[in-house]
Parts: sequence; structure tokens; C-alpha cells
Amino acid sequence: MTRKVSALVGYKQNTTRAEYEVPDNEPGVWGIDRNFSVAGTKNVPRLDAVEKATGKAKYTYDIKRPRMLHAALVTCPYSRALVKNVDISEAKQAPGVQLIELFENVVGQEAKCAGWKIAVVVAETLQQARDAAKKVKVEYEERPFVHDLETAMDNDAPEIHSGGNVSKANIRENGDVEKGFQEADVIHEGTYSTQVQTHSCLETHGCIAEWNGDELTVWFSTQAIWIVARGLADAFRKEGLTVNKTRCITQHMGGGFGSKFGAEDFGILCARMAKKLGRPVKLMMDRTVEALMMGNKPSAKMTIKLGAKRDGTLTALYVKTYNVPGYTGSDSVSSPFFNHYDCPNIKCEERNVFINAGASRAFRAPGCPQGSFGLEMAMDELAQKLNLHPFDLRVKNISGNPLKALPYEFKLGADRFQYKEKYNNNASQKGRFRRGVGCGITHWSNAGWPGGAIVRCNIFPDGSVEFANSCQDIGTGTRAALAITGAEELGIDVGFVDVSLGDTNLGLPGPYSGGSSVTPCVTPALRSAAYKAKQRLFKQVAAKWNVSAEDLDCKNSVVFCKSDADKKVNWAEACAMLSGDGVVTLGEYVESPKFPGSGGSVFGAQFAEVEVDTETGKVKVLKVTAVQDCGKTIAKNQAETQIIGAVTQGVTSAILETRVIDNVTGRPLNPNMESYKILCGKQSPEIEPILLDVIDPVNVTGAKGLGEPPYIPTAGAIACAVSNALGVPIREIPITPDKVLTALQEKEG
Amino acid sequence: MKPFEYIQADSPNEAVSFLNEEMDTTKILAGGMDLLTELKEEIIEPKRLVSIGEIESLQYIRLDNGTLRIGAATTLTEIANHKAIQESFTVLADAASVVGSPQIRNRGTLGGNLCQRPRCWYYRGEAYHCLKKGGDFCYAVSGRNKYHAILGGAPCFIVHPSDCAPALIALSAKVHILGPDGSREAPLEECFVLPEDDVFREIKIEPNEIITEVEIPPNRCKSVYIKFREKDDFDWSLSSVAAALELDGSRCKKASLVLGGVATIPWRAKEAESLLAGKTITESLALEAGEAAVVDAIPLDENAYKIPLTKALVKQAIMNCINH
Repeated sequence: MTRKVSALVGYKQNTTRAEYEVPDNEPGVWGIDRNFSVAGTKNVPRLDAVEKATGKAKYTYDIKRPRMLHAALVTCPYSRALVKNVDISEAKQAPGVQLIELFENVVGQEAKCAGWKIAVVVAETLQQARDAAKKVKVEYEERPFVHDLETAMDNDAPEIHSGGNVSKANIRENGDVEKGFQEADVIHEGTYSTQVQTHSCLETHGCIAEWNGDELTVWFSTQAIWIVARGLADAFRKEGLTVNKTRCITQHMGGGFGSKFGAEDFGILCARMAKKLGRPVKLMMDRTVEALMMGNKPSAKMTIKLGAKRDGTLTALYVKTYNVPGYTGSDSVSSPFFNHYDCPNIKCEERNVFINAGASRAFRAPGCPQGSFGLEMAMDELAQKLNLHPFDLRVKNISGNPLKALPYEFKLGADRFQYKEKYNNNASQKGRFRRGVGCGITHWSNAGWPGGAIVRCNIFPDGSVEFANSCQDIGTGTRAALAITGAEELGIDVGFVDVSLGDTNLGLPGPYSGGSSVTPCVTPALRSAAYKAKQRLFKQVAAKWNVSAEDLDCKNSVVFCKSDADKKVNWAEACAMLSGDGVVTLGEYVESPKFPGSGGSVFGAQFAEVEVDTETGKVKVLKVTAVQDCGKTIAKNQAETQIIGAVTQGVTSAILETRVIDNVTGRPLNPNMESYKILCGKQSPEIEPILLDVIDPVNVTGAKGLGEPPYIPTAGAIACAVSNALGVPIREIPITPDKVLTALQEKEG
Repeated sequence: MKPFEYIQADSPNEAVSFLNEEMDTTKILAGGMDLLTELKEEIIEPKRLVSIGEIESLQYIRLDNGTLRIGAATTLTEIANHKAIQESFTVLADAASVVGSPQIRNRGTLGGNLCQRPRCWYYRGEAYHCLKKGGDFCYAVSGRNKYHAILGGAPCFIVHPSDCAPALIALSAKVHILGPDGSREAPLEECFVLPEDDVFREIKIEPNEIITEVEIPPNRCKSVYIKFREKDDFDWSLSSVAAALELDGSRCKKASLVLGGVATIPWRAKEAESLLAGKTITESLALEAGEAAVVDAIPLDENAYKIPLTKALVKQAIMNCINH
């Protein structure tokens, strides 16, 4: 059975009424005109704030198990070498050593980069394991390596794969770019480069594996506990392991950024050694291996060509790019070129170029920050050629779909930041310190998916409420977002609500923390569970009051009868009327009917102001204003800090972070926190997050993914700002002092 | 990490006698901020560590008739926060306040700051058997050298990492050194070693000696330290300038200019100093001094930016002395 629902959707300045049908026991989407009690309106601290601040929260790194052993890796020190032989005889005799095992198929194969995993040593203490690892004798035959884009593309470069160092072109195309350039009055072409960034999670990759009979428990620093559990069950299928006997626990995460999916070879080997030894084994990567092998964001060298009419209308957009993911992996920078501005003719031609370095992994909005940096820089340079203000050029072309939220957000941010005025004032500055402004826009798409999550809701007779889903909290404050959703739906204070997550033994399917999917997958399922639980509660209370359940509501933790003001009790008293152990329900993500103009997209625009010291070349980022929607904001505080975190990661990519590879040995020179430079607190700019609710009945909370989109435009906006300050484009990030000083010397002689 | 013996010395003399017993395989531990990193990276593998960090008689800041005396085991935080140092020996307080991070300054000592080993990523990388570690060549010459030396290089191109050393040299500091034959004094400036003279060490303190005190003569100069780094905290200098100017109004009677982060030793910019002596300081003169400071610089492939950078910092340091 279904019923009709009606909701006002869109954003405050542009609303429309959506009328559609939902199953009888499911809610309709929260409308923009709802008087929200907490969702998006109140700051609620993380449920685990005190635990985290006091150190009580246990991360994988903190887990200690009875009789636990420690493991250390043996890795290849060369950027490319044949592994001829591994001799563990001496290491086996070292103090405390319990077991040494090689990774699968290591001997006789080529180690493709420094840090290549050879063996695992398990000992009573970590120091013993590390010391013994040094005693494993590996016989290598060094082979010629390639360490960067240029050497890899040389005609006589050594091939690191039989297919060559350059992949086949991946072409994505709309319309006819050649025709588009013919129609153009003005063409701009430039080459824009970005660096390799490593994820540099505060908590390195790793796990603890413990067998209890034929059941396996792992504590894993992961963004995807279900993928880990399935991966391990798969690996030990011959030994009789199944998913129902595999438990993965991740209560707190020290960062992932896209690098922590899957059981991985080290997790499987760790579990295998724990099984053989009959004792728990802990294997955490050290910082060096973390930086060398646990993922990176590929560099991109993008040649971008834009064609436009005199009035600024884009006619053609062509980008040819070489992405460098390491010895394997791939990337695509194409999304911003297709989604940020409207252009009838677009062609993106991409190749991956392989070098002897660790493989890339997904990195917060894969490919998008690179593409956005190149695109926004090219737009600013095109505007100059057209003699147009870059604001006007963008407004002319900015993508309008689906609710025209993006043009609105761009103008809102520009206005708040005074982008237009500031840009003009910066022309022809003299003097030591010069200011500049830049901007960029962002697009992402994740509104969850059917089957994405199943949430359990318990309402207990003492008034306490629990929501459970197996998914992990990558560190964004998922527990708060879930508690807020439940409190909003039930009409109660967040204090009544507890949340359980991060454990496959809860048995409730939930998403990986990737693609910005947790909030849009889990909150709709949770709301559905809460809605059903509330209906059951109301039914029992209504029976006692001799009224109909439809006549009941709950607000401010008071359950009341809408037609009889005398009938009201506080939440705990209402729950005390429940029979037995209370109410338990399950809620699923329900696909909403297709609604005209609906889509999974979120948008945003960022504006950055910098001050460049022309004597030292140092770029100081003064302020970033970030307008962002995430559909319906659920957890205001956590959403804002999510934006601040994303912008911060964008700032550090714009002015500091870069992996440096030695041209002499092919090895990365800065796999540490000392010379791989990450923005420190002192250097962080003022960041102003501006959240906008853009309701779209795509799921029942209207929530969409937020983790990635605010990271996309920051570096580009900052690079545009530096170029505005100096009057000369700097087309390569990070914009470090050496690059600024060189550019200034070239400009001013 | 190889096992080692740990001894806590009760007095400077006891420390020296422990050192003297097995001086080739013994290392001194004070704050441990540099030594522990070398141990962890297995750059050094001593059999014995002699701790002097607990010796109270090495921890003091005293003013005797204008002469500043600092015990070698005094922490950088104490120096940075000391009122009299901030007022009369500003360059030193400035330098101590920008070393590493608050945690490092709380543990790190003045003696340790002077004796620390270089941060060159080849020297620090376990996999590189570089010249300084007994290898055949300096990787930085044809390798990645953005952070390497433009002055005093060859055959090795490390930059001297100390912030306090340039500041102390600008103040004409002396160090008191205790060895098995008693104590000796040396101008700090003369303690540092160019790689062409001895590539295996940066400071001429024998393995059986310890620095006990840094002595700074009464100071009549205006002084500043400017450290330029990419990261605003917890970063090494790409270039830094310690300046101490004895002024008569805006006329400079005598100038000391010492560069950090650009040379293999704390680098005295003598030509720049003599250019200022006896002259009225103007911005253009300060800029000329900046030029003179780097006139002998020979950049590698990736560090030519240090030339305009250092020029600018020298000018800024001089002008800061005038304007303070």
C-alpha cells in the first residue's frame, strides 16, 4: 500500500512542490519548510568527543590483546629489482622471533618500487620484530628504473611493464571539439601540473588478527569493514572460514582519505600467521612503508585548450593529460571539465604513465582537484584574453543543473567574499606584499543507493534509544549524524540516543566510507527505522489513551495528543508504556520515485584570498570562503568541520605537500613527516563554511555526500589567487617559495 | 636498534671520564632530540650513551656584569622565554624560539642544538651511503638539492641545521669545553668545520669532550634573527640570518651577519659586514649588503632561489635592527 506525500523542495530562494507516493510505512522527504529541531540547526558535539579528547577512544593502533605478538615488514630498498632469493635462517634465530613468512610470489619476481613487501617477521615485541627483519637476507638484482613522467616517456626508457610505460588513451567526448574551436573567437592554451600527494593518514594502515577456534576477529584501520570481512573469509575459504565467522571491528579511525579499503595482502598474511601461531598478531605499517606503498594521489600534467566567443560563451574544451599513478593504478581528471561549466564540445584525452613508485589509491574526490586546478587557472587566463572579468566569464558558463543551485551558490559566495571588487583592486600592485583572489566551483554526486544500509532502532522502556549499523566512522563524526537524524525523526533530545557502529557482528549492512556515501546511505535507512519504531510506540500509547495513533506526535521529548491538549507525557513516561523489552525495527534505504529536477548532485563554490611575499616567495593563504550544499545538512557542526578539513587539505596541496623522488636512486626522499611538509595549525587560514540546504527528494532525509566535494576547488582557487596577486600565472602546484621567486625573476628580470 | 649501555652522569667530570673510556663507541645524550632520531634511523650504533641531561650544574642562565653565561644543558624554551635574553640578546631568544616545535624546545638543549647533525635527506636516509657516512660521493650534487648548500659546499652540500649557532656567532660567543685534560675555551665561530676539511663532522668537539657553557660578552648591539621556512612551525630554515649591529643612531659602527640554512657551517657574511661598518644604514645599503652576502654563492640545480631569498632576508634583518 502506498500513500501520497507532498514536500516543498529546492532551496529557500527557489522552491518547488514535490508530490509523490511512498510505501505506507515509510516517511516522505523532509521539506525545506520544516521547522527542524536539530538536524542542520543545532550544534551537537561528536558522541565520542570526550573519549577522543581524553584518549579513552581506542583506535586500531591502541588495541592490545592478551598474548599478542608483533609483526614487522621486510621491504625492498631499491626502486626496481629482481628478488632472487630470501634467506631467513639468521633472522629466525633472532631473540623473540616466532615466525617469518614471505608474501605470495615474491621470489623470482620483480619488486617494482622501494617499499615492496617481501616478508613479515612476527616476534614477542615490536622492537624484536624490527631488529629481526633487518636480518632477513634478500638477494636482489637491481634493474633500471624510471622515476618521473619525463624519464618514463623517453624513447629509450626502460619499460617497467611489457605493455610499455604509457597506457592507451582513455577518451571521453561530448560534441565536436574541432568544430567548437572553429567557432571560437578566442582560444587559450596552457599546461598545468599537479604533484603527487601521499595520503599521510595520522594512523598508518594495519590490523590485529585473532583466531578463536575457527572464528577470526580483526581490528582493522579501514574505511570498509564489510569489504575486509568478506576479503578475509574469501582468503581462508579452504580453511572453512565464512563471513559469519569473520568479525571486523573499527571503532575509531585515524584517517583514510581513500587509501584504506580491503583486507590487503598484509592483512591476510597477518591473519595466516596468527592462525599458525595460535596467538593474536598485530601488524601496523611504519611511517616509511605507509608513505611508500599505501597509496598516493597521482600527479597530472594537463594541457588545456579553451575556446570561447567574444562574449565569453565557451565553444570548446579540450584537455590532454598524463597522470602518474606509480607502477600501477590509474586516474581520471575529467569530471570537472564535464560537470562544472556548460560547454557543447568537450574532449578529454588521458593517459596513465607508469614509474617505479608505489601504486596510487583513491584520494578524496579522485582526479577532481587536479582537473579543477587546471580548469580554473585556464578560465582565469581565458578571461584575461577576452578582457572579461573572471567572475563574468564563470557566470556566463556555469552549469545550471539540476536546481540552478550552483549559479546561486557561486554568486552568493562571490558576494559575501567581495570577489569581484577584490580581483579588480589587485591589478598592478607594487610593493613587497601583494594580495590576490581566486575562485573555483565544485560538483559531486552521491545520494546513497537502495540496499546501501539497513539500520536497527531500539526504543527501550526506560526511554533510551539505540541505533545500530555496522559501518565504520572514518572520523567525520558519523555517530553524531546518526543520533541527530534519529532525534529529529522521533522528536526527542539527542541525549536519549546512542549509536553503535564499526562492527560487522552488528550484522547490519552498511556502506564503505568512500565516495562520500555514509551519511546519504545510512541516515535515510535510520530515519525509516525511527519512523517505524515511532509508529509502534504511538500505537501502544494511543491504545492506553483511547485515541488513534495518527493523533499522536512527539516534539521536544514530549509525546502528546494533537486533538487533546491534556493528553501528554514526557518521552521516558511514554516509553514506559511499552510492553516487554520495548520496540525494535529495521529501516532500509528506500529508493524515492524519480522527481523532475532530482539528482544526486551537490554543488559549491570557493573563494580564496592570498598574500604573497615577493621578497621570500612565500604564499600566505588568508581566507577561504566555502559555500557548499550537501542536500539537507544533518549534523551542522560536523558538516562545517568536514568543510574546514577539506579546505585545509586543499590549502596544503596548493602550497606545501609534494612527494620528492630521487633521480639518482629512484627512491622517494621524503617518506616521513619531516620533509613531506603538511600544513601546520599556525599556517591555516581563516575558513568560512557556508552551508546551504538544497532539498531533493532523492532519499528520505535529503542527505548527500559531503566528504569529498569541498576538497575539489581549493587548490585551484588558491593558484588563481596567487596568479592574480603576481600578475603572472603559476601553473604548477604546490606553489612553494622557489617557484614564486623564479616566476618573479622571469617576470621582473 | 642495537642494544646499548645507558649511563646517567652525575657531574660534567664524571661524564667526561665515561666518555673517555670508550670514546669511539660512546655518544652523549642531553635532550635527545637529535641523537634519538639518529639511533632510530640506525645512522649511529653506539655501545654506550652517557646522559648529561640531568646534571643540574649544566642548567643555568646567569648574567655576570653584562656577560651572559648559559649552561649547555639549558633548554631552548628557557632561553627563548628569558626576559634579559629577549631584551639584550634578542637574536638568541629569537633563534631559540623558532627551533622545531614546542615539544622539541622543551627537551632540546643549547649544547645539543650546536652539536646536532645535519638534516640532509641523503644523510638521514638509511639507504644512502653518502660521503658523510663513508661513501664515495655526495648524492646531492646530481640529486635533489632544493634544501642544500649554496655556500661552503663541496665535497658535501649539507646545510648546517642550527638556529642558535648563527645567533651566538653574531654575538661573538665563546664555548667552554671540558675534556679529560681539563677545560678549554674557544670562540664558537672557530668550532665549525667545512666539509673540505673534515666531512665526517660539523663541529670540532672531540668525542671525549662536552660543551659545558656558552659565554656571551656584554652586548651593545641591536640584534635579530630571521628564519625563513616553508612551514610556519616545525620546519628547518631554507635560509636564515642572524644580525647584530652596533649603532650610533642610524650609523652602524660594527656589524655581525651570520647566515643559517644556506651553508655547510654557520656562515659569516664578512663582505656584507664590512660594507655596513661606519656607514649610515639605508634600505639601499642594506640591499647592497644582501648582495654582498651571497656574492660567492654557487647554486646547485634546484636551490638557486636561495640567492634572492637570502639577499632579501639580510636586508630585512638589517632594517629590523634599525627599526626596533
